[in-house]
Amino acid sequence: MSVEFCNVGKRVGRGNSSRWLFDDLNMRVEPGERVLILAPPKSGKSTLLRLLCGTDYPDRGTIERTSSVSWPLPQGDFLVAFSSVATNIRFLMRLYGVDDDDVLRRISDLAEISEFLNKRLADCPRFIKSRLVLALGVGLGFDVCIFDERAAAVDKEFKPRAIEILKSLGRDKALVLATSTPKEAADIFETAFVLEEGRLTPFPDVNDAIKHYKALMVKNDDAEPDVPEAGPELVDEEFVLEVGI
Amino acid sequence: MESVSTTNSGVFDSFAAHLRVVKALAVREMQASNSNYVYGYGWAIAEVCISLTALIVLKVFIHALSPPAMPPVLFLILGGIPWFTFHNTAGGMLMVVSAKRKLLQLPHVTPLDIMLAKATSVLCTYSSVFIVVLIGADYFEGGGVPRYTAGLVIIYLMSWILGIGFGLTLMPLIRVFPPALKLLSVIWRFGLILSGVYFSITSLPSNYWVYLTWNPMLHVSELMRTYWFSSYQTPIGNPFYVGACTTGLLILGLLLERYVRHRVPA
Repeated sequence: MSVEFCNVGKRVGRGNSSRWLFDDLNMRVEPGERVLILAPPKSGKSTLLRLLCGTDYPDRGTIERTSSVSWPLPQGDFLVAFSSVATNIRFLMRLYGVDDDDVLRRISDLAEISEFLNKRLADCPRFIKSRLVLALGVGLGFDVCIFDERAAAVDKEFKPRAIEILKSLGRDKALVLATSTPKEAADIFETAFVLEEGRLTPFPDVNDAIKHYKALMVKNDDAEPDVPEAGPELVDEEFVLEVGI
Repeated sequence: MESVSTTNSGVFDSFAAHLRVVKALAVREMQASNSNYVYGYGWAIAEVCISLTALIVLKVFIHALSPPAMPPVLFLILGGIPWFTFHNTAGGMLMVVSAKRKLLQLPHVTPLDIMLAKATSVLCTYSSVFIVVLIGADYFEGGGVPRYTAGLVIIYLMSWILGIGFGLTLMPLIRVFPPALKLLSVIWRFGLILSGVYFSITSLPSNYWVYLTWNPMLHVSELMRTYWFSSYQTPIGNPFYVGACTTGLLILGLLLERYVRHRVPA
C-alpha cells in the first residue's frame, strides 16, 4: 500500500498565462512514513496535496494510489453548520463506507467532544470544528493523513493532545505535512522533501531539509530585493522568528 | 477498528463505491435541506405542496382545458408532479455543483456524484409528495383506482431520468457559458406550458399536435393520465418515444460530463 508519483506535471492558469507548476515530480509515501514537505508560500503545496489525495489530476505523469488518503486537513468547509456534530460524523462515515458505531465514539473521544455530539455545529464553541476535523481525519482510519500548512490546527488547550494523537498513530498509517512554516514539524516527521522550482528534493533527515529550506528562503529573499516586503499573509510570523530574516 | 477502503479492484467495486458516495451525499442533502429552519426537511415537502396549490389555484382562475371525464385536481397532479420532478432534477443538477463546491475537497466525491445525489433527493421529496397528494386527491375527487400502476411508476421514473439526462447535457454549456442559465429560465416557463400540465392534447385542434409532440414531457403527462383514468386514452402518448429520449439524453449527458470533467473547472 502506497501512493507513488511518477514524473508528475501540473499546469496552472489558462491560455497565455498558463505555466507548469510542477514538472517531473517523483515521490513515494509508504505506510508508517512521516513525511514533511517544505514548500515556500505560493509554490503549490495545496495543489500537491490535492494531487496526493485524488481531488485534482496531473496533466502529465501518473499517480498510483493503493492506499486510502484523507482530504487535506484541517479543511472542514464541507461540514454542515446547521446539522449536529453526530450527523456530520455519520455523513463522513457513510461516505467512506465505515459502518461501525465504535468509530463515532472513537472520533468523539479523540476530539474530546462527547458532550457536543447532539448539538448543532453552529451552536458549538468555535474550537469544536477544528478538533472534529482533526479527529475525523485520524479516526476514520485513512492509510495516509495529509495536512496543509499545520499538523495540529486546533485550540491551544487541545494542541498537546493533538500532537500526542499524531505521534501515537499506528505504524501502518502515514502522515504527510506540506508547510511553509516548519516549526512544529521536527519531532513528528522522519523524512522530508523540499519543493523548489516545481520539483521535490528528498532529504532522509528532517533537520537537513529544514536547514536547506531556510537557506533557500534567505536566498530567495536576497535574489528579489525589488519585491515589496511581504505582509503577514505571505510570511508567517513563526517562520520569520525561526529563520531569523 | 474499521477503516476506510479506497482501493477498488474492479468495475463493480468502483460502481459500488460511487453508489455509496451518492447515497451519503443524498442523505446529507436531505438532512441539510432547510436545516436552518425549525421544521427542517418538512419545509422541502411544504415547498412542493405550495407550488402545487398555486398551480391548482391558477388552473381554477384560467379555466384550463381539462376534459370533463377527469377530476381537475387529479388531472393537474398527474401532469404537474412529473413536470416538477423533471424540472427540479435538471435545474437542481445545474446549480448544485457550484453551490456545494466545498464537497469536492473530499476524495472520491466528483461533480457527477454531487449532481446524482441532488437528483436522488429531488426524487425522494417529489415521489413522497406525489403519493400523498395522489391518494388525498383521489379520495376527495373519487378518481377511482389507477388503470395501470406499473406504467405510472415507470413513466414517472422516466421523467426523473429524463431530468438527469437533460441536466447532464446542459451542464457543459452552463459551465462554458454561465449566462445561458438566464435563457434556461425562459425555456422552463415555455416548457411548463408546452408539457401539457394545464391541458390535455385532445383539448387542442389536431393540426397543432405535430408542433407539440416532439416534447417528451407532453408524452409523460398524457401517459400518466392514460394510465390512471380508464376514461381517457391519449392519442399521442408513446412510452417508447419517452424511453428513447431518456436513453439518448442520458448517454449524451454522461459522455459530455466525462468530456468536460477535467477540461472545464466545475
